[in-house]
Amino acid sequence: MSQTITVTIDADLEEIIPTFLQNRQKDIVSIAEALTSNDYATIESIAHKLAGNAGSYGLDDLGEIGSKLEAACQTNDIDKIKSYCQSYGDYLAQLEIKFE
Amino acid sequence: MKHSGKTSKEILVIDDDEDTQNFLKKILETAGFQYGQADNVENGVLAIQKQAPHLILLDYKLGEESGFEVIKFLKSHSAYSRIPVFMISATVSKKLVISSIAAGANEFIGKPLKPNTLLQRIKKILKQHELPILKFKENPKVSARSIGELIKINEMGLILQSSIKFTGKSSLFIKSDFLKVLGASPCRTNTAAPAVVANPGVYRNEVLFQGMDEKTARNIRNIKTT
Repeated sequence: MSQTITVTIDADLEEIIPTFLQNRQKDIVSIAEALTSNDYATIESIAHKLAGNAGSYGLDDLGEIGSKLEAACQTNDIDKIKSYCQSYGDYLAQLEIKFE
Repeated sequence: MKHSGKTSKEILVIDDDEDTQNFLKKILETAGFQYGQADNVENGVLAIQKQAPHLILLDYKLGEESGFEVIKFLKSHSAYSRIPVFMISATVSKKLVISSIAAGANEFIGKPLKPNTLLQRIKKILKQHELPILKFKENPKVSARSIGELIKINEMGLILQSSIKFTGKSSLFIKSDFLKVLGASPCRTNTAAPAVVANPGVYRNEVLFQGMDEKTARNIRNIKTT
């Protein structure tokens, strides 16, 4: 049984969260393609934006994954890149957002 | 997130990332600011010229371009050089912060952005950059140099667009190289109506000529426009 990650976000952001999450799903698709072609520059670019934006939207832990993934790309640590890409996908799959 | 009343202050966001744009649009509009947006250096410069914003939130990394290009434009044009700029980046390094401030950014803000902190810093810088409002008990004589644009002219008067806002009835003594060619400089004028806001920080003032001679009026009527 998969775990749920519940995050409470400012209600003012409720309107823009769906687009943010849709863009994250696009990230997952792009990362999967990039991994098959060893295109780590693309993954680093995605991770860089994730590291900057997720925390702004109130998803601090997701931003942390982005930071670690970006750092792994910069050091070309393939095992860590794959591991954090997996963490990114898992986080989104388990995420449940509440607004208040 | 704290809400506040509407303000006429316009903030231009120059950022190529959709999620950042959506986020800033939401928090700025919720706080009552007018929001403008551009996604690269070229569009950013066009937006600055069109809107003359009160503040620019500028992404350091604009695709293959750099936010420094926008600051370079601002600093080389006196009409825009006082617009405050916050450089924003997910890359936070001492070197980038120092180079941003050295280039002319007023502040450097690292991501993630925290709405309340960002809004506090925005309000603080806007307050610092508010233009003084001069109020006089008696009619004063004030001299000022201002870059302006002559929007319309006829033998009755002209419409001047500039950063100066005349709210009451004033007598103006205008010197202009363009008017000098027509024999109309220096000229005495009176404001015809309170200024109209053309863009944030840019005002349109209608003034009427006083005591114009027939030769000068004829020169103005004969202006050829192409």
